[in-house]
Amino acid sequence: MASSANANNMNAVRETMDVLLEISRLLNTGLDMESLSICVRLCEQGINPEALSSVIKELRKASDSLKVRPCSGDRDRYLQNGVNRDTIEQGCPHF
Amino acid sequence: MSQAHWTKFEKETEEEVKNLVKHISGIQDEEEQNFQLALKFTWSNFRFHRFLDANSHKVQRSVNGIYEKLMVHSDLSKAESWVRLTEEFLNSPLPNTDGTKVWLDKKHTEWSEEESEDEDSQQPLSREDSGIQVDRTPQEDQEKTVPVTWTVGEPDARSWLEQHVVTPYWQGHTPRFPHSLHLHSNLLNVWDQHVYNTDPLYLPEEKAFVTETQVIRETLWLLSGVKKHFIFQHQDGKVVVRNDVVVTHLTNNCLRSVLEHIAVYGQAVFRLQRFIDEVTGYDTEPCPPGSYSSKQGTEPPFRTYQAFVWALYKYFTSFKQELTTIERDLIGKDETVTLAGVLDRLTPHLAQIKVLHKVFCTGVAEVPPETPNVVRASHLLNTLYKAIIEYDSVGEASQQAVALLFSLWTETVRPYLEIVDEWIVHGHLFDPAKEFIIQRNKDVPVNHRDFWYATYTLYSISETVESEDKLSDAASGSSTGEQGSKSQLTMVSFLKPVLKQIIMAGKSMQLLKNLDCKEAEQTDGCTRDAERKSLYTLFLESVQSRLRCRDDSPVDTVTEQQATKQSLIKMQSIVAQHLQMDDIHDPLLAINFARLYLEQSDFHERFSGGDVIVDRSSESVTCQTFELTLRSCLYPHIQKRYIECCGNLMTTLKKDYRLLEYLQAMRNYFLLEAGDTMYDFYTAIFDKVLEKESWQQLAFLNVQLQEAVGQRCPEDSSRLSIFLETIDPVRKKQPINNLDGLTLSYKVPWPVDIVVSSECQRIYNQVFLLLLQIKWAKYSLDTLAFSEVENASEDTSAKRLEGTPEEVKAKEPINQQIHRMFLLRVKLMHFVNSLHNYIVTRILHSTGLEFQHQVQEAKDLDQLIKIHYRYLSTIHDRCLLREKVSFVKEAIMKVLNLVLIFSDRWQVGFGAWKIESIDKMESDFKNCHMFLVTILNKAVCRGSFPHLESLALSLMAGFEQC
Repeated sequence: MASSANANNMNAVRETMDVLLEISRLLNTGLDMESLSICVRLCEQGINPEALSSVIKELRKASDSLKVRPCSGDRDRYLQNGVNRDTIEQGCPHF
Repeated sequence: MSQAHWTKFEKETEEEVKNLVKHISGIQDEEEQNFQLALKFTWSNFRFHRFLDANSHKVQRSVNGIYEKLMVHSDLSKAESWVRLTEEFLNSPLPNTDGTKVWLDKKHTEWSEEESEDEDSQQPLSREDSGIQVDRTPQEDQEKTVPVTWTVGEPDARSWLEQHVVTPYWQGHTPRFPHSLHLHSNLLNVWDQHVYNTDPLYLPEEKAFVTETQVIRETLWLLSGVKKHFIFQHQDGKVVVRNDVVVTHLTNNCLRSVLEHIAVYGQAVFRLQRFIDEVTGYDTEPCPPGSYSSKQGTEPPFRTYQAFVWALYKYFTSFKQELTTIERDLIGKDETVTLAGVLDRLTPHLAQIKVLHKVFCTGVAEVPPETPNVVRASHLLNTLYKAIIEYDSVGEASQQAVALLFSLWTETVRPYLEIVDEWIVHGHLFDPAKEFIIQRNKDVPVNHRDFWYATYTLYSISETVESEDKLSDAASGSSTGEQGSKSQLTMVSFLKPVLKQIIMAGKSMQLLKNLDCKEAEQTDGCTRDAERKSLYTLFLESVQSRLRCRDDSPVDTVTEQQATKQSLIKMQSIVAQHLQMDDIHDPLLAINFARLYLEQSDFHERFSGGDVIVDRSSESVTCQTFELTLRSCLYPHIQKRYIECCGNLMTTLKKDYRLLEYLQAMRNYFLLEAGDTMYDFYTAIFDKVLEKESWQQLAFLNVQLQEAVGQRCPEDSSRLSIFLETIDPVRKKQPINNLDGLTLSYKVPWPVDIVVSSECQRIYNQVFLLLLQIKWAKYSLDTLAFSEVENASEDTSAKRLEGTPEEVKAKEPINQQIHRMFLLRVKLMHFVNSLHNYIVTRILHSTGLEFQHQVQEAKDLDQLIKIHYRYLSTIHDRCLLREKVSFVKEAIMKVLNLVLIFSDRWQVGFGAWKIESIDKMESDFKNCHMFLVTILNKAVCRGSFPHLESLALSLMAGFEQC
C-alpha cells in the first residue's frame, strides 16, 4: 500500500520534472536535468527563485570569464564585485 | 557559521548549494579559492536578496507575457508547447513536493505539508471541511501578537495549532476545556444532576462538549454552504443535528431545538447551493437520481435556469458577506456574540432563504426530471410570478420578500426577454435549449406559402396536469385568441397580454428580413442596431425610473431636492478645489462639472457592472403595482416594437410587393370589376352557346381570356388562366348549370399569396360563377330581338292567308301569345336587372370600398389576412351563396334557368311555341318571384339584413306590376 503510493508519487515527480525540463529547454536556460533538479530542490527548501536565477547567471558569467582569461587576479576581482553588486540584470525568465 | 546547531534541513540546503556551484561553475574542488568565493557569493545572494516572494499573479503574468512574445515572433509551435507545458506543470499532481509550487500558494503548501506528515494519525476530517482552513484567520491574527517560531519541518507544528488555533473538538477524545464554575455556565450539569436524582433509570451518555463560539461558527459555516461539520451532519442529502453535542450552559434539549431550527435553513441553503452547482456544472459529488446535471454537457445551456441561478448566486453573495461580517465580529472578540444574537441578526436573511427555498421547491425541484425545457422554464417563471403576487397581497408584512422575489424574477426573465428581443428585432428565434414557449418548425421555409401559419408552434402548459399540448397552428395570432379562455393559467403569465403582439412582430420581422428590402434600409438598420438598447435594458430602465418615481412621492420631493442640492454644493467645492490647483477660477465650470459627476455617479450606482440593481432599498413593489409595473415598463416596449415591425412589413408589402394591386386584380377579374375586359371574355362564350356550338374547350377559353386581358393589362395575362372542372352530370341538367366548373386561376407571387391564398381564390371563384350566371341570363335577355318575333308572326300570318279557318281562329291567340311573351320578357328583364344591380353595385362595389378602407388601416399582416377573409365571407354571404340560405339561391337559379329556357324558345321561333309552355313559364316565374319577395320581405322586416332592402323593394315593385 505504502510502496505503491510511493511509486505513484515518484512517477508524478518524474513527470513533473520532465515537464520542467522541457519548459527550461523552451526558454533556453541551458540547464540540464541535474542542475534543474538541484534548482528545484533549492526552491523547495525555500530559496527565493529569482535570487537563484540571478546567482546562476552571475556564476555562469564568472566561469566564462574564468575560461577566457585564466588570470586569477582579475577573476577574483570580478567575483568580489559580483558579491557586492546588488543590482543584477533581470534578463532571464523568472521561475 | 557555527555548524554545531545546524539543523538537518540547513545541512541539506548547504549541500545543495555546493552542488549547484559545482555544477554551474564546473569547479570540483571544494577547497579551491574560487569555489569558496562562489559559495559565499551564492549564500549572500540567497540570504540578502531584494526580491519579493514569488506570487502567482506575477508568475502568471510572465507566463502569459512569454506566450505573447512567442506569438509575436510567430514561433507558433513553441508558443503552443509553452502553453501546454505550463498548464501541465501547474496542474500536475504533486502530493509530496508541494514546495515546487511554492509560488502558487505558500500558505497552502505549508498547510498541506503539515497534514501530509500527520496523515497516519487518522484525522477524522479532511482539509475540505474547512474546519482548519477557516480557522486560519485567527491564527494569522495571533501571529502578530505571539512571536511564532514555527517553521516547515518542525514536528510539533500540529500541537502548536491545537493549542493556539482551535482544540480539535471534532475528535472524540477531546479534553474538557476549562470554563467558569458559575452556576449559569453549568446548567447542563445541574440539569443532569437533577435528572439523575429524579429518574432512577437515567443513564448518563457520552457527550461531546463544545463552546458556544464553536456552535456559532459551525452555524455560520453551515449557512455559507460548507458541507462537512461536526455538529451538523449530512445524511442522504438532509442536514441533521448530531445527538451528543452539548454546551455546558444549556440543557441538551434546549440546544437541540435551537440547532434543529438552524438545520432547516442549513438544509435549504444546501439544497439551493447544490442546484447552483448543478446548473453551473460545478459538480462536487455524483448527483443523486432525479437531478438535472447529468443531462447537461452536450446540450445547449438552459438559459432560464442559468439566469435563475445567477440571481440566486447574487443573493448568496450578499448573504455570505453578512455571514463573514458576523464571523469577523466573532473573531474580533470586541463584543459578545451569542447564538441568539446571531440568529436575531440573521432573521431577515433566514426569512428570505425560506422564501427562496419555497420558490425553488415548487418552481424547480418538484418538476419531474424528463420534463421538456419549455415547461420547466415557464413553470419557473410562473411560480415566481405567482409568488410575487401572493406575497404582494400580504402587503407591508412581506415587502422584503417581494423585493427579493422581484429582483429574482427580473433576473430570471432575462433570457426570455432576450429571446423575444432577438426575435422581434432581428426576426431570428434563437432558442437552442428550446425553452421559449414559441418554437420554430424547422421544416417550413420562410418563402413557403404556409410560412405565416405553420412556422411556429406555441406550447401551452397546463399548470394542473403539467402536460403539454401542442396547439396546431396556434402560433397565428388569431388562434391564440381562441385558446385564450382555455389557457388562462397555462402560458407564461406575464407575457400573455402581449403574446399576440410578440408573435406578430416576430413573424413579421422574420418575413421582412427575408424579403428583399431596399439596401439603404438594411444598412441604416445595421448602424442603428449598434446604438439600440435591448428590450431587457429598456425594461430595467423603465423599472428603475418607475421605482424611483415612486420614491419621489410628493412628501419626499423637498428633502430629495435638498439632498441633491447639498451634494451638488459639496461636489462643487471639490471640483472648485481641483480647478484651483490648475489655476482656473471659473465657478460656472465648477458647477457644471459637479452636475456632470453627480449624474454619472448616479448612473454608476444603477448600472455598475451590468448588474441589475433593482433598488432593493426602495422595497416598494407592492400589490397591484407588480402587474402595473409590467404594464407600464415592459409591455409598451413590446407594443412599440410591434407597431414598428408590422408597420414596416405592411409598407413593404404594399409598396415593394404591390399587395394592393394584386387585391385589385382579384376584384377586377373574379368580381368582374374590369367590366370591359371581362365582357369581351364572357360574351365570346355566350355567343358560342347561342350558336349552339361547343364552348367547353380549354384552348378556346384560354385564348378568349388572353385576348381580352392581354389587350388591356398585359402583365396580368400571364398570371391568369382558366380551367374546367369536371362536374357531376346530374347537376348539369339545368341549362344554367352549364357554366359550373369554370374556374379562374390567378397566380399570386410570394409573399402576397400569404394574403391571397388558394382558399381565398376558391371563394372568389364561387362569386365569379354566380356573376357569370347572372351575366349570362342578362345577356341572353338583352340580345333577344323583337324583330324575330315580328318576323315569326308575319310568317304565320302569310301562311294564314292560305291556311284553314282553324288557323284564322288561332291568330287571335297568337297575337296574345306574342304579347304575353313580350310581357314575360320584360318581367324577367326587370328581375334579372334588379338582381344584377343588387349584386354589382349594392354588394360588390360598396363592400369593396369598405374593404379598401380597412386594408389601408390594417396594422399587421394577420389583421390584413383577417380583413381579407372577412371581406370574402361578407360578399359570399351577401351573394346568397351560403349553405343556410341556399333555398333563396335555388329560387334565383330557377328564375335564371327560366330566363335561359325562355330565350331559347324565343329564338327557336314562333312556331314552336305552345300556349301551355308559356303558361308554365309564367306560373313558374310568378311562383319563384312571389316566394323571393315574401322571403326577402320577411328578412327585411326583421331588419337583420339591411343590404337586402333594395333587392326586396325592386323585386316587390316588379311583382306588384304583375
